[in-house]
Amino acid sequence: MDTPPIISIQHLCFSYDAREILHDVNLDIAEGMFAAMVGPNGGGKTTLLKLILGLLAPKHGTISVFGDTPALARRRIGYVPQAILFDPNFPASALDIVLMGRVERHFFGGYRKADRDIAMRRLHDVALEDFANHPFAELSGGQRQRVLIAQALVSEPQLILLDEPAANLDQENATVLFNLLGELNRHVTILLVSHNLSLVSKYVSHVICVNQTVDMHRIQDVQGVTDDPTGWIRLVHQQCPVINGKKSDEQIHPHHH
Amino acid sequence: MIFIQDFIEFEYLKRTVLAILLASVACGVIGSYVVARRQSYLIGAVSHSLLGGIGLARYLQIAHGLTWFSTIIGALLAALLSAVAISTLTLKNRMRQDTVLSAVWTLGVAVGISFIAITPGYSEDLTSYLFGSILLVSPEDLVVMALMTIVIAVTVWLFRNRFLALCFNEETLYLRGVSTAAVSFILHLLVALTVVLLAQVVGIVLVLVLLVIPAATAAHFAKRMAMVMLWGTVFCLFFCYGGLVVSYQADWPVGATIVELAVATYLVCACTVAVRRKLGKPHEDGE
Repeated sequence: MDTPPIISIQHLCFSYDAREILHDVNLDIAEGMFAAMVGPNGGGKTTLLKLILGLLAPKHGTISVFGDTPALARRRIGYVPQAILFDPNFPASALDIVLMGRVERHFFGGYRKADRDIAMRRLHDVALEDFANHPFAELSGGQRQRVLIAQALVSEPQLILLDEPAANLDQENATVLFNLLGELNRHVTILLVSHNLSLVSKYVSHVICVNQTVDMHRIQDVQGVTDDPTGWIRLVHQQCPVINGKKSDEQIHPHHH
Repeated sequence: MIFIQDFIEFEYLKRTVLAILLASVACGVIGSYVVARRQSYLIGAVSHSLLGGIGLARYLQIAHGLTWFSTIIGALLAALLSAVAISTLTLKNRMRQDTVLSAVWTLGVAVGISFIAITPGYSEDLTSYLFGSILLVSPEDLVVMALMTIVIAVTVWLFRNRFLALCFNEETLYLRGVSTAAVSFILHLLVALTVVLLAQVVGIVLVLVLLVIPAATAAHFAKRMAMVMLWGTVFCLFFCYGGLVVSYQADWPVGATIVELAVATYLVCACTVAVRRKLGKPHEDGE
């Protein structure tokens, strides 16, 4: 390995009270990857994102991001959550929301012209530059999602995490988004959670199956994407815990704590 | 009109008008954050705790001759202490928020009553603290109020980006590596200062209403934070000066009249917006 992995997770376990969500997770995300996490609901995909961001702490095991703890690494990460709670009447324009991605750069005072220029360019990237001064609360759900994506990009991150970014987007906008992510992937590492592998499979370099434990595959090893209702894929690698949506019995790891 | 004549003649009314201007600026600015963040529950606890500081001040003035320790300074001390207590005790859910707020609220009132009881002399009439004493602003009080407003204005100017992000979504701010606890703490202190300023105008009991209604009214049509603050200030000035003039002419209590005008205006505004919305959408589609 020439460069150390951007994200390095070793023997990680996490549980919410008594329920163990993740067990003995080992995962290395290398620089330049475009990886999609897939798996059933409750399998731990969003939890894994939150652990990488340091919003949650592992019960066992280690996680390092850019060689640091998640808390120290988070300024280099852009994060687009699946949904955020906000006041439907919040008095801010789309540009105001995007600029928040640069809030930590100046201790005192307002945003500089450079900040605004970058923010406008990111709004252009998500095809919303004409809505810069539009009230955020008056945008449609899909438009708001794109503003939040621009907010994640405006901090010029080295790693972007997205949780179901295409969930509220129509086919056309989803394609625009993934083309954008594909472009960004030239100099930014991307990790996203998706329910729709047939959509993302055209763009990603790796697929990570998450169902209490984790298995990563290169996209070329994936034996074709079926259109069945569950959306799960059949993989060459038979050890994958995500097969037809059921957890494979071979994956019962001995408890190590 | 009696008010105009008296205004020209009497110094104290000039101080009243100036005090209202200072309180309104704080009200518009900080009220906007409180309304955006939906945290008006804090205000009842902080405002009632003022009584503890006021009681302490009167006791020190009368029983110990510390004439410089005015009630506004006592109120300021109590407000800042409660803000600190509320901030630190509720951090990371150390203690339940409703417990902390109830404790601060009632302890403040109890301490105030105790101090008043042990203060020698005639029994203090609490009305002016409970319902406002804007006609009794001394020159020293005005200086303290001016300093408080300047602190609020300067702090907001310097930290406006962080405050906006905090009010929008705390996680957003947190993930940028900023201490949301610190930003929240500073905002709580500014809320405490604003509560003291507004308590001079309408008293402890009615502060909550005056702090949120001007910004809430503005939020119906203002689409950016700076505009909510501007119009919030304008509405507060309108309620206060309007209420002052009307109550002066009619010999009604000032604080109560101000609040009545504020609530009435808010209801008219809210109804107008609701009616407009219904008229603008003849077919309700589920969104």
